[in-house]
Amino acid sequence: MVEESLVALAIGAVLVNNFVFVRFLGLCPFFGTSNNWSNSMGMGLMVIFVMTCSSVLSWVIDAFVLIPLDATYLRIMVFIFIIAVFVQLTELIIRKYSPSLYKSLGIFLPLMVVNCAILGITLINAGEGYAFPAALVSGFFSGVGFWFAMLLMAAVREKLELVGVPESLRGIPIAIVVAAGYSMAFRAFAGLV
Amino acid sequence: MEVNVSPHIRSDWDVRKIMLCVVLALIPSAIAGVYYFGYYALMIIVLSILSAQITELIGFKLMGKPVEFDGSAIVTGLILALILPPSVPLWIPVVGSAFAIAFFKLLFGGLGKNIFNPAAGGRVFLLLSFGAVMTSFPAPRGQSAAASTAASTAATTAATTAATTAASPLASSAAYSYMDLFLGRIPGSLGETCKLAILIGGIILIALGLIDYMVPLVYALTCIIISFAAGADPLYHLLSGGLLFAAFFMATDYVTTPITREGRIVFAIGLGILTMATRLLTGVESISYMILFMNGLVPIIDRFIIPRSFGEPKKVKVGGKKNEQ
Amino acid sequence: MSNEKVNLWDEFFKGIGRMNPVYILLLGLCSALAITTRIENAIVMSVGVIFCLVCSTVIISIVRAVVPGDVRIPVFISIIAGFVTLFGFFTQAYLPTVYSALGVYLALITTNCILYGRAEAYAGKNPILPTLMDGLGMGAGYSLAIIGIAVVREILGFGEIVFQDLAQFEITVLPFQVGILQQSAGAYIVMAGYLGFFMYLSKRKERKRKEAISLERKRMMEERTREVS
Repeated sequence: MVEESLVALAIGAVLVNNFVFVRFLGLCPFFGTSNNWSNSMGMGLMVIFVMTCSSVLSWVIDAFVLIPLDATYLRIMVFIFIIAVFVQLTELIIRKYSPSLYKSLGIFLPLMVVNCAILGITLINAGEGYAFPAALVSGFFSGVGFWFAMLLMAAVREKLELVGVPESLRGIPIAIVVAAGYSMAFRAFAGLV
Repeated sequence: MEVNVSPHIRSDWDVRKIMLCVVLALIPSAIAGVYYFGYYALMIIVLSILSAQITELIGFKLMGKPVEFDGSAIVTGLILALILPPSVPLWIPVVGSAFAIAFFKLLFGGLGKNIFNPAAGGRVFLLLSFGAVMTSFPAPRGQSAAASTAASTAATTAATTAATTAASPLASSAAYSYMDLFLGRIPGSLGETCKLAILIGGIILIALGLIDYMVPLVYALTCIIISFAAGADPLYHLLSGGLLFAAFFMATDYVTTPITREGRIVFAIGLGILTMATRLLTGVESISYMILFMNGLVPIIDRFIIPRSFGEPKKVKVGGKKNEQ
Repeated sequence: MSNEKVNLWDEFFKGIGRMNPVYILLLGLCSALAITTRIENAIVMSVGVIFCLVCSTVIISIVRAVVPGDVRIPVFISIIAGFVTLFGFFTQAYLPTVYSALGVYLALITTNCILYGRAEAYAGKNPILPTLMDGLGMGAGYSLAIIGIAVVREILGFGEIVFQDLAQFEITVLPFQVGILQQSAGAYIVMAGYLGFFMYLSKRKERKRKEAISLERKRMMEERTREVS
């Protein structure tokens, strides 16, 4: 039964409650970087990584510090602080040990702190009161959903660059029109989980 | 840079000829719809086509483009009318067609440039916006008594599950014989019920070389295999809902499906999996959503399935691909 | 002195018009789309953003001199998070319905790109007074933008206007509902409409300016030829 609900959670995170098309989280980096395939890939992978790690870290702090101290009202401050510190540490480590990785993926790291999808997932996990496995699955697969959305949008936008989109809609407005289309399509999954 | 996204379309006249043929292929379904659901169905069809064409003309005017009449708006309007329930109020086809053309086609720059199938988009828009009227289906002419009681229960369940599409006879399986399903003596969308008419239209399109027979074939096979594996009745699933109509008239749209044959097969398989997954898991019909979703996957499919060689008539160099260093 | 005053007003109005955070800079899209189903929610959200924006940018512009570059991000964001938490307490206590409707998005004011963007781009470099005006202007621009979206979505989407916390009334405006506007797809549709409209306006303005310039150039050329002849 536990495994089953985790599978449902995973499908829910990718398709039913997709961060971009249904929940509206992380839109600024989404529209900002989805005009290019390789950037989208990098950004998406980085989101998966940071989201998973922050979910784990914030769960640990929440369960062993905030809840015992009855200080859950501090969640926003504590979680954003964890994310900021984690991101900055990761940046330092990658820059030191793998300059090539830093060049391809590390440049997206500073953006993670202000990516509301990251803070969002930690707060959603805490608000739902998930146990550890659920928090891990929800973090990882929400990131996968974001990555998937990035790739969809990047492929579409590279195609759209070559066709005659009306002048006043070029760039982000047409991307929002496309997002509306995806958002409609994703409604079909609403009954799945 | 001028990139022709649709491989087959070479000139204005070609587009018009193709659209005329598609309309011809859709006429059997339209006739069947009018036969089963009366002249009201004809009004829906006419209004939908008019609204689509007028929206397109106004759009061209507003965008300062030369007004061209290629018939593609007529096809969109006709297809949208055929996938609507036959009892919708008459403003539904008007609003739906106008939205389909304006939002899903003109914003992207017109024919050949849209990402999503406008008719599928129009239907999904109507479903999400006006769920109640979009999910009640009247009984067709000549339905047997036993079947019509079942149909009315199906209609009530459909009305309660708003916002999703409880199309056609999916809700009550036992009430209809295969013959009812095949000839269209079932409640359902205007042009989706009569499978005989759809097959005639499909055969016309294949005979004229306008669509690739592999797409409907692979789509149908995928659905059959999945329903067989899941212990459902494959023939029943094939003949119910909007599966066949989508297979011939929506999954084969040039613009919104992959450019390579391999890509189109992937498209058909994906569509089949999603169709059956939602049918079996949620018990509702959502082919229009799935068409929209798979349309959205097309740029990715095109990215990974590269045409084997250039110069072949059906394989055109992809515009959206950049050489990655 | 008067010159400085004019500049301050400019700091304020640029946020509403030519540098509108939502429609021109495309910041704060998440909340602009997520919580705009009801006008009431949009109003409370706007107040929250203005409050947090103004307070945190002022504090940041005070402390900016003593914060070393390396820990800048964590410090700024913790200051912002503090004010968001305060606002959360207030809403929870006095506006419970809106609080539950806003859900996680209220907490996410913390990462609202407008706040962080202004903290980083403006408050970190400028003195208090212009910072304050900049913050207020950006906040006002954001509020107008999201209330504009909410008005369309609530009136067309629900056919009625409902207030439960700020005031208590229910007005039926339309005899029908366009259900899609209650959902996420509808938010994108309305957003695309507004964006396209503003892009069209700014493009037209630019074209007019260019036409004016070319006209001016033509006149100067003519004058010059006249002088020569």
